[in-house]
Amino acid sequence: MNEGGWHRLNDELKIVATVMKKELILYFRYPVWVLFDALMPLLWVVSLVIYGMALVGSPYSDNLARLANTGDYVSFTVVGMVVSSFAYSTLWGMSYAMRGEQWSGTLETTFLTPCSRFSVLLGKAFSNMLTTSAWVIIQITLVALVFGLRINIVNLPLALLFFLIALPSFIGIGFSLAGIVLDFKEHSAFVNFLSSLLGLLLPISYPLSVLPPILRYFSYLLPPTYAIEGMRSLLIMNSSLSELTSLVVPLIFFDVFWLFTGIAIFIREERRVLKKGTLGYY
Amino acid sequence: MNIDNWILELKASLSTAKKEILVNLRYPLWVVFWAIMPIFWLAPFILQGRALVGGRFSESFGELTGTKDFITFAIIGSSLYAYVMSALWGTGLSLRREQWGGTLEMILISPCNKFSILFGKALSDSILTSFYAIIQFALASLIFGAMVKVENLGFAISVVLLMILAFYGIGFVLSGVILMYKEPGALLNFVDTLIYTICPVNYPLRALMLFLGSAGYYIVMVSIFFPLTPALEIVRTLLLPSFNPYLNVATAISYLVATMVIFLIGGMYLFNFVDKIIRKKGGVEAY
Repeated sequence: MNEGGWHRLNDELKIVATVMKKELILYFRYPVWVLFDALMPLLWVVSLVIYGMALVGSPYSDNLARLANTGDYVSFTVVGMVVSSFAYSTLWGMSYAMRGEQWSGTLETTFLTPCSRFSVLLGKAFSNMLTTSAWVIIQITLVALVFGLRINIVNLPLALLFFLIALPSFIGIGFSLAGIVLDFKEHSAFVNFLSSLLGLLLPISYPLSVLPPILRYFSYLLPPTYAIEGMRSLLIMNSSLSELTSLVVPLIFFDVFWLFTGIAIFIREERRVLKKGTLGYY
Repeated sequence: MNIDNWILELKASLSTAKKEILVNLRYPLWVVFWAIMPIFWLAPFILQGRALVGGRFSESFGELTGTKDFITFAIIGSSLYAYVMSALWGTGLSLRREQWGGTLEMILISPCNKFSILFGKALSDSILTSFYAIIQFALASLIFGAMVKVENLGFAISVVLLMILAFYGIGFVLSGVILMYKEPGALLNFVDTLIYTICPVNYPLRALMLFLGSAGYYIVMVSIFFPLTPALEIVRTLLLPSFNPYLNVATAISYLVATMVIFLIGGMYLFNFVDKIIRKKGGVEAY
């Protein structure tokens, strides 16, 4: 990359950081939302754990041990919830990204700025991930205190590395959703439907083997499935990164696929909206 | 108020209910969404149960509830939970939707009682929700299998009707709160999740007490004052073979009737109070 290219990259990174800062300032201007965002994932985990305990009477399930190589379903569920929280945060955050600007009447202004739309989208995605990370840390700490959590802390850096491998695919899916919402405007029904579908297809609180075979195939098409399985292997089953080749390879494929597809969909939808003259439509 | 006025108010309620149902049916995708989606929310719990116990019966669950069949337990729970969602997202948001549509002022200045309109909106929600709950119960029974005592279905339905009346009161409370504070998304999401956690939708009340210690006891004490809890206790006693409730039927009915009266009166009082305040502040049309 020549000097001009580096300068451009540097400028775009600054834009990502500025959008992130702006989004965080906006987010914390609504403390009630912040409080609910912090408490809700905790309530979801609590209800899943109490349900599990009611079924097996203890934090250990023999049947889960047979199916998933670990009977500790509290840790099993918490890791699933943590990874899926990031998937949901990308889904909701990025689909809402441009719609939010539309609601505020600032979409045209944003589009007029001489920067890449993707820097704006990335800034929004990273601000969402930052707040999700904070809630996830609170969630893990409280569940560890109340129910006990047995995760391999030594593998935490590896788990983070694994998550970074999965991240581009999440972002790519987010780009495509942002593009679709730009054209179709009303995102809540669509994203609600996707969220509910993901809740069923992702192995959040159960292993894939209990899903009916046809649903399992759909689950294998979703990058968060590999992310959840990989993080679980590293944090609960003490696997090493080299043992996760079967998960890393498809994830890298999905990273490339979804980034290209996401960018292509967003550019296509943006052109369509500009051509139709409906960018400012509510 | 004489009998003619009562009839006119009833007509206003029925017209409102008819209008709301017509508006809902104009969005067939939403109707399909609400009829089918609850199965997607229930299925993960059933799959989790199967992963943990390897079938549809759990010994531990049997010790807590008297019935080992956690699947039928959850199907009943989620079918009745549909009414909570209706009170929150339907009746609670109904006046806010009029505000979005720019028709709230016209409704509030119409020469009929505003509770006739609120009642009509709640009525349409409960009709649609009953339709969704029946589909959900039928679909869930078909996919996962539900084993219920059909002979008690009539009594169970009358208990559900009592619960629906109590939810009308909760809908009035929420309508007032939302009219006052406008942006309800965060509040409704939180209340929705909180109710799902503290009420015995998927797990019994005893599980809360057993696994959360003294905190669980206080949570149960709060939970039984929410109409869903006594209603679920009664309906499960009636429909689930060998179900051992935390509250016996007589106690649960008295809680249900008491909460119904409290929420209906409290809801009407609160709504009147908020109505007066926002008219004074001039904030009826404020977006």
